[in-house]
Amino acid sequence: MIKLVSGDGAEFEVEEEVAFQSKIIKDIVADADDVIPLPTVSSKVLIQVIEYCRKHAAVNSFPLSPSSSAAAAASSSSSISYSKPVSDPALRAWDNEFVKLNNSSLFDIVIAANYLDIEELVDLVLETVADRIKGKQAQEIRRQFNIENDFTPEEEEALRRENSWAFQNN
Amino acid sequence: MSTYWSEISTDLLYLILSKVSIPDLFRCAAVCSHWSAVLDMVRRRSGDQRPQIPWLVPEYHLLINGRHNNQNTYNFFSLSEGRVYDIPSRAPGILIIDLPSIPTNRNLEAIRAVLSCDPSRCGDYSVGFVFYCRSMVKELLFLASAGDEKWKMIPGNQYHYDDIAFHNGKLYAVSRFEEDDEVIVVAFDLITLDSTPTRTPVVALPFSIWDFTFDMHFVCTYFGDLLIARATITNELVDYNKKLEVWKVDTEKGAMVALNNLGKYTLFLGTGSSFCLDTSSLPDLKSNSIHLSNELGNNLVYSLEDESFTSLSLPSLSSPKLERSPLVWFTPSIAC
Repeated sequence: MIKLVSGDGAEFEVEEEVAFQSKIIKDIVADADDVIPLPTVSSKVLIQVIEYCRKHAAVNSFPLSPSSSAAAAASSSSSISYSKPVSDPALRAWDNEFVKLNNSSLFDIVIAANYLDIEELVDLVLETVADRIKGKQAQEIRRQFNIENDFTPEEEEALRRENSWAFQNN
Repeated sequence: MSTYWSEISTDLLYLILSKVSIPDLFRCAAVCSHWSAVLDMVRRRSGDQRPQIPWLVPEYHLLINGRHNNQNTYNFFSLSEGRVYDIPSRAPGILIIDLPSIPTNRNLEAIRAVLSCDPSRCGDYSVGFVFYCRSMVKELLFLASAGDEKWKMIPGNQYHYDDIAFHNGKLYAVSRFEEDDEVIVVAFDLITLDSTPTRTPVVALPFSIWDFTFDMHFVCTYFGDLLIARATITNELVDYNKKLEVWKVDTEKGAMVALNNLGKYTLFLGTGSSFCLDTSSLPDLKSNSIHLSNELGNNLVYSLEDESFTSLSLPSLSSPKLERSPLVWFTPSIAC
């Protein structure tokens, strides 16, 4: 077991394979003791990150569910060289539920995941953000992500004029 | 609510902006100065950018009697947003490449065009064109490379080219002959093009088992394989009877292997050009499927998984003339 200590002093005991979803923790454990302080991560965020790692550690230790291993066997017996998509649909559905959070929670998670080097979680959050930007006008993106418009009216007008077709309302 | 997202690091914002579509990118540039600066980085390193989901553009826009048309805007269907954009033909980012002028005495009409590579990224491109010659009632294959002053006609007794594609330094064509209706795949060696190009028959396609009224073949390349697809559509007045088949071509042995699973890939087959995309970085696209846009005006998605067809729902265009135009698949790209 590995003990993770959040910035606010809460301690979390997790199995190695869960903690090792983080490449940073894996590196630290290799040459240090098993109590790992994470001063920049709050307990609220650490709970969410551990939940994600626990789920992914469980799925990754059994990479093929019975139905998908049967499908893999079937496709390898044919001469087709194209592989099936690797990611497990059940895990993808779980991920989609996991990121149903407001934008500020997502921000906290991506900062922690980036710090802990959990590549898949970083990618999942950034993918979600890219999806929330899709089809939105600049002022709507600013409102959703609470970003201040620091352009002068002239600068903003110049940016809009350059590619005005992209700013057409549907 | 916190103001966190305005403090996002450049690295993470770069990764977000590398995932969005080109219209989204332009809108993101107007969010704030930090986003605008990161967007400039994405544009400078366009190789990091996720491939774009193809757009559809009405064929009438592109080629009218082989001349570049003089209209002011192009209509593009964005598949990912389900909407139409009107893009001015002189907008920054629209790349117009110079081609030799078409010999007007032959009364030629451009039918299909393919590029050997993206001309915004490599200067050494070739263009293959199929022209329909009204006076000869047949199609002719022409080639030009960057900087050429004249088109090079490729001689042959084919009368119709279903599709053409560049693959491993050769130009492949699915063609039909005047003598019989046999459909064969031929390869033209581009290295010997200065003299008469050598034409090598690669493989003949099996006859369609259907009593068809319309069939169309497509050729495209991806990850070292040459793929041939055949769409067979029988008009039964009420509904269409449709069938799609795909083969992998072994160009060395001249053999074809039927494919019933495209895995993570999806094909885009259309009247202008055909190509294959890897969906693993494009979660909005359905893997193991074929997007078909044909001359009959069908815009369909075929799932190889359950062998079902669904219609692409497209928003309507302003001009009724454009409504009837076949649609051409087109992948936008961005570069500085």
